[in-house]
Amino acid sequence: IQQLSNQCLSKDERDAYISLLERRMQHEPLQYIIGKWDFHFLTGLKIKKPMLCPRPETEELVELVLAEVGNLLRDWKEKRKMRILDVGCGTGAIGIAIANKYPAAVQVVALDVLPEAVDLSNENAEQFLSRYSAHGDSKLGVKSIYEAMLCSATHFTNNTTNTSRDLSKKKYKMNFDIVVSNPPYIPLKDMIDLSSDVVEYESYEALCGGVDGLNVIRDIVHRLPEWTFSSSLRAKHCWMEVDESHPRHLARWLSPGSVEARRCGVEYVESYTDFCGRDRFVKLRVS
Amino acid sequence: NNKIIYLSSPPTEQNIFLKTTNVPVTMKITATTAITSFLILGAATTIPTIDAFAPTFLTRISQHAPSTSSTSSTCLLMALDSSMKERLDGIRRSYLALTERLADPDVIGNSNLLMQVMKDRSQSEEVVQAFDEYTQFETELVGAKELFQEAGDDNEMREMARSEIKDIDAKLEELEERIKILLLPKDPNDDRNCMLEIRAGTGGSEANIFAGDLLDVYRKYMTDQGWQVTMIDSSPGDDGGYKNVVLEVKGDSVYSKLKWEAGVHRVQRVPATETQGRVHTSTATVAIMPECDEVDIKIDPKDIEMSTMRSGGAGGQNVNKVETAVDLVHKPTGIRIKCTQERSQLKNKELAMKMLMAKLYDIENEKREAEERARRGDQIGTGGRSEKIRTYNWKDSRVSEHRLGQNYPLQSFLSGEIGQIIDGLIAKDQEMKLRQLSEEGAN
Repeated sequence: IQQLSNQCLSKDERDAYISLLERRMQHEPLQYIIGKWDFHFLTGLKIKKPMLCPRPETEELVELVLAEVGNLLRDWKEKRKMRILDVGCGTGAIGIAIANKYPAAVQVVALDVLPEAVDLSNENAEQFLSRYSAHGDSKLGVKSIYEAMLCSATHFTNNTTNTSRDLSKKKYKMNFDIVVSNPPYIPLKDMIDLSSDVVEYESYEALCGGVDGLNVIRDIVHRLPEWTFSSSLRAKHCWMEVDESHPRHLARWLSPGSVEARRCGVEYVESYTDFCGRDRFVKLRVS
Repeated sequence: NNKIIYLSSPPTEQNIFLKTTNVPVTMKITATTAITSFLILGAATTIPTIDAFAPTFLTRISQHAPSTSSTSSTCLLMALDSSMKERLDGIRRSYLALTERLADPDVIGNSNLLMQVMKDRSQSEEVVQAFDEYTQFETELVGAKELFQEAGDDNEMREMARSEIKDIDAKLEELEERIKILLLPKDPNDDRNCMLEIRAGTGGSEANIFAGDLLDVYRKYMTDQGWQVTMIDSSPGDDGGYKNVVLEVKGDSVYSKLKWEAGVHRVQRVPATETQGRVHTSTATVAIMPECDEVDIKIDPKDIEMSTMRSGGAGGQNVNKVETAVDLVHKPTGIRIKCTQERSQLKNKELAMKMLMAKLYDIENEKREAEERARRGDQIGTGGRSEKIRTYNWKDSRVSEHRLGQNYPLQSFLSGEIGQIIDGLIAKDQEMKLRQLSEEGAN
């Protein structure tokens, strides 16, 4: 850095720098200006608007899921890879960070409703995971470890086909072992309080979860039993990052043994706080 | 004045006693079989009578030598006694066993195990080779002495044999010294990587600038050594240099060399910020913390209070601030660590924990070393934190290393050539340990 500080900028460099500064003065998020940022152990994850810039809390969500993956792997008897579903992948951060730790053991399918998010996730996957796909399933390449697809939570069923060029007519097995999501969860009333660098640049759909913030979360809960259907007795968990108000709502709604929990086929297990002591993460179980 | 007496008729170990009559004697047992030689220092007016001596006496080293210089190796002449030889035999046996294991297909197949076996084996390699050389020379010495004996009246033969004996004796001495040093208790942290922290002391801006100067010197040295250096945290000074800077250093034998830099460094010069040309004295403290892992230091997560830039106000999706700095307080000790290095908060957390573990481990080490220093008296230690170890004087272009009582040219130091000083400190430490061992042996 000392060497850099002694360099003189050319006129072009100066102009480029000033235009970047001007963008920042408009409160454009730094990650969009630079085009990348670090997340978990992914150095230089590409970030483009309007996809949500990964927050530090989400790194903790990844750590929680990685702990479960580690536990499951110790007794893993299936011949297939462990399958993980990332709902609302955005930049791809969560799914790729998980696959990055266990590339040989895990296969991630990721969903998003924005085509730009699907493209960006696959691009990032190529950058970070292609080094692991050199051997083995080389015909599929990175897709054997990570694949993002354009689809909403509600519409993702065993009849869904991937409409992208290279994977047309491909269907997906609904036997996921873990579901993870950082869904849009901000309640409508809180959207007004957001600072301009968030609300003017990041996608509304990625932030707002409806009146109570639980819209997408409800969609996910209703799909969970179908996604994780399998003959194995092993418990299937869903991990989500949520708004502070959500853990107690979910605890009430999906209380183990309650009518609703039995109807949905999903039970609330517990919640975890983030490093600021806020209720931030919930763990659900498909019963 | 020094005499070597050879017994012409080889007595057995059991039946020789050496009566000393106020004559400084150092016994040198070169072969457990035929001939034993005695090196007698000083003017011996009466040759000690030799009757018999028991094996236990054989292993005792009497050091009544007049000490003209403390580094004279003849005064510290200690033979490899039988217990030491047993130990060396044991080391050689394990070394051979490890060598065999390297050919074991089970070991070859497991890369972690293979690396461990190779590492263990290489640790004893040097001393085993030295000991092999030693035993070889011992055999040669026996042959030479037999030759001497058989020479009888043939003066030419006797001269040849005698000079050969002298040569071999010298080589044996050298090997003994080397073996003793190799057998010295090693600092368990020597092979570890470490964290180096420079903190500006008294002197305001000038101290900060001096801290920056020291950093430059260390960087050059580390590059020369081929070590990998990462800056973990830094607080730049307003007028240059650093209030505080922490580096992580990785490579071969990092701690064994850098540990000598720990302590207070003092500088005497006209500061860059000085308007009237007066000489100021400022200080900077260097701390060296060996790296450690969970095996060395256990930290209870409950003892840690972590705060980040996101504490307070909303968080999660509601806020997008890129300050990923992590602030860690270890409640029982009050140690506070700030880590701003990484863009990933998780990485900052991990780095901060690493630093905390290194500091806690360092405190334990320091405690242990202080206890040892107290026990051993005036031993040159790796420095209590507040020990003034060096003074740098710009006017006289000189670096004074206080633990050695020696001066070195300032320019070489500033170019990163601190190897000379470090080697001197290592040598002195070894010498003191050897002396310590011999004193313990004599008691």
